Amino acid sequence: MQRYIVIRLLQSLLALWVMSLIVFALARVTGDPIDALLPIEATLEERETIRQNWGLDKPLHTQYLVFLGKAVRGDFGNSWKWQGHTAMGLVLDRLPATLELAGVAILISIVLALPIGVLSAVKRDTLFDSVGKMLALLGQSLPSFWLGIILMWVFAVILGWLPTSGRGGIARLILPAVSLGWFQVAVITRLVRSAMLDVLDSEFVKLTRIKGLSEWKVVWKHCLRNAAIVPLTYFAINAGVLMTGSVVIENVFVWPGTGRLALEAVQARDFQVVQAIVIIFAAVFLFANLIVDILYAYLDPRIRYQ
Amino acid sequence: MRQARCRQSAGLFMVLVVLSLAFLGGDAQAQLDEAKVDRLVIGLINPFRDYFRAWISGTPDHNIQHDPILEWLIEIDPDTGHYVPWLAKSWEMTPDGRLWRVKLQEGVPYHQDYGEFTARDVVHNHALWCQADYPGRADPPSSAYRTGICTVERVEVVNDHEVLMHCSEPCLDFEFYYSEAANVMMFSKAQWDAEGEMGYERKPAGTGPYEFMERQLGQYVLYERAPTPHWKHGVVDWKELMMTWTIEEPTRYAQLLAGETHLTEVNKDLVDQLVARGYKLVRSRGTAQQIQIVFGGLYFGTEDPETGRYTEHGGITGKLDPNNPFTKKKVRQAMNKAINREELLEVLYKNRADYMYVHGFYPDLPGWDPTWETRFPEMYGYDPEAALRLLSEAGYPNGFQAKAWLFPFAGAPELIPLVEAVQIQLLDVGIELELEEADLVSTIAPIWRARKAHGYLAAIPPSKKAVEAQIAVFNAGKAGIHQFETDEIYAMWEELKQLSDPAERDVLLRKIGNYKFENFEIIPLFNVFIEVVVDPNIVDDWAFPGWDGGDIGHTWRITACKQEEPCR
Repeated sequence: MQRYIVIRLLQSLLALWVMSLIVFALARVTGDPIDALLPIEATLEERETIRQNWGLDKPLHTQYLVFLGKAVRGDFGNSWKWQGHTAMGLVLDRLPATLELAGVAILISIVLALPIGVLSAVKRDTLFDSVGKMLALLGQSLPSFWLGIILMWVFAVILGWLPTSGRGGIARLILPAVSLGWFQVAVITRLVRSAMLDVLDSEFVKLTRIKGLSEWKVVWKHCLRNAAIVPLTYFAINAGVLMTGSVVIENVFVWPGTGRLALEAVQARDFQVVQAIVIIFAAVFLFANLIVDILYAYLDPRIRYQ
Repeated sequence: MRQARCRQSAGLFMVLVVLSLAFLGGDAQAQLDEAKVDRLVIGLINPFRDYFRAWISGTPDHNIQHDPILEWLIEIDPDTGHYVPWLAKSWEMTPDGRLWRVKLQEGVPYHQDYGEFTARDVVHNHALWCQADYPGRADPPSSAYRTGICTVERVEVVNDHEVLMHCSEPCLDFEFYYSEAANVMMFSKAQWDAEGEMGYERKPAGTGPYEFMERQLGQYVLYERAPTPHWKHGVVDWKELMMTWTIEEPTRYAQLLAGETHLTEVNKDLVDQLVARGYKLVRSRGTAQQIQIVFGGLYFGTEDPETGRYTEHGGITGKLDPNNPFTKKKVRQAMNKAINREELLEVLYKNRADYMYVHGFYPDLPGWDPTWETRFPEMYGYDPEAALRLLSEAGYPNGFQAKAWLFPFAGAPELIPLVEAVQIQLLDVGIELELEEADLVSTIAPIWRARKAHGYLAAIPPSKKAVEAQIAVFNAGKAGIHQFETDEIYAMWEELKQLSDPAERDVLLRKIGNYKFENFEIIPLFNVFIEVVVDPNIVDDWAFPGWDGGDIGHTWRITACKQEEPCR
């Protein structure tokens, strides 16, 4: 098991390094940051001064090595757009808001999707199953930004029950979390339903019933535990999707998280902040995958022995 | 007798009733003493730069955040568009145009007990922008208008309330560069000395009617009314003023409808919807931007690397391409005559704009020629047949193919549909435009700077500037756009820089304007105003000239609706 974890950890570090190369290269091929930093009226002299000041006059490989050397120490440099702030400081400052939103979205998706998925499978081909499938279909087809705007219109503008946007208190969290989590509800519902259908047909389930266990225990303890491995795998991807998917929702709801920061940084070509965000997103994604891999191995001994 | 007393009592009673009703009725119409809300929330799009030190990569678009707390030497009057006193009480130029004597207001206190505004603050702020290696300043200054600002090469203190501003060459546009249209606001020297550069970010002390309270990056900036009445404006209407930043337009729209903001910016279609719902449209008092289409490749100026002519801003690689149809004057006139401006004005701008004639020229600024308006229909007016004839004379009887860039521009959402409409109108005279989506900053600006935009059209909305500044940026090679450059215009520019007599300058500017006009430099379209929508229950009016830095400002002129009924 330890060897398995070490291998996975090394693979994650390798992936992170590749990611640093990609983000560094992509940031540079999208254009000269000086064009975003300075107004079009800026003189050549001003452009050169700024270029030297930010080290952009150095060869690309030198710039990359400087970037990598600092990045491993958590230093992504100073933000260009938000003068006086470090890129890392900005990301860390906004991260709690994104984690809060993603966390609640995950909670909503689990709380809704698990029972709907399980009951849809148990009550297969009934009205409940049809409604569950319809919900899943809707959840996967509605773009989150559209759903967000519609929810905002109905609950904030027409009914006046909730605020339109911003962060602070549960009321402001509901609409963005539902908008962000709705797609996940659909996906997890479908995954749980199909996994449960497979498990419900298996021999051990028949055995538990023959042994006289209550239907509640059969379904919620034995079947769900065995069916959970598929949604659990998805959960790791889900964590990443929720982090990155929050870019859209955070902008619609003016949620002050890393997603909104990412968009503003990209628009301003603030390389330092973009690099910090992408690397941290990648690290979160990889960490979540690592945890799931470990859990997976724990749940399924065949994997750790392979 | 008793009857008479009864009648008297009844009469008295009636009089009392009538007086009471009159009093009550009058009370219902009475003006309220204060605004209906303590905090005015302004829903804006983007902070542009989310910090206060405006000399770092700043542009006037950055200024709205400074507007409530900081003040400039010179104000632009919203109603007349003229330069009027602000922190400068008066200013006077010497006949050679190289020196301005500026008298400063007395008794203007900085917030946070940082003392009075004096000449040393003017020296400090000029140095922040113009002095290399200014002690305590970490980042070098780099900003739009810096060249013009730093034409004032030295500020000499006469006394606490008078300075002499010495220019390296005639600086007739001193007023513009030190007005709120540009970006030299007066920070406190005492605060700099006490707290250092970052004091301006933590809590900048200004002289404005509001004090800075707090900023949440990317979310909002909050100000509060200064504890003592403002030296010029007295007590402003709002206890607190908040600017929020919301990029998504539907969200800004919803925020206003939900009452979370009281004033916002949305596109013209949404403005119409809001007005239909009872909200109030408030426009800048004057023109804010000119909407125009630029012909790429009009690089007629002769390069001269030895003298640096046309080369000082990196333009040495671009060459005139005579195969570019835009280089032919008749083609440019034909394209102008193929444009149905009336239709564009009605459909895209809802008839809420004026026609423009020459880029960079305005009726209230030097160089304006009133004949442009009368000559425009004949020279530029919609006439597809004349356009076809001109194209034929230019050697393009079957039209030609060209390209046009499409790019989003904050604050000018009509630009993309405008280019799409122009594509259709030009097709009627055989000009096929291929539309190419591109990013202004990363793709288009570098091509412009390198003078390689041959055969590309681009719709842009230059903000109002001093006429000289417009020519510098767009025609004299002093920035990266290179809109229309010729040896003639370059020579006129050089001559202009030497003039110190405002009357002579006016004549020469008019000559340059006519040169541009007669050469069909661009496709001029509209002078547009900045539009905001306000909740009339909360806000009465906002008088701003549209020539503020970043086009909006004068936040102290946002007045509260102080009556029970909405102020429609």
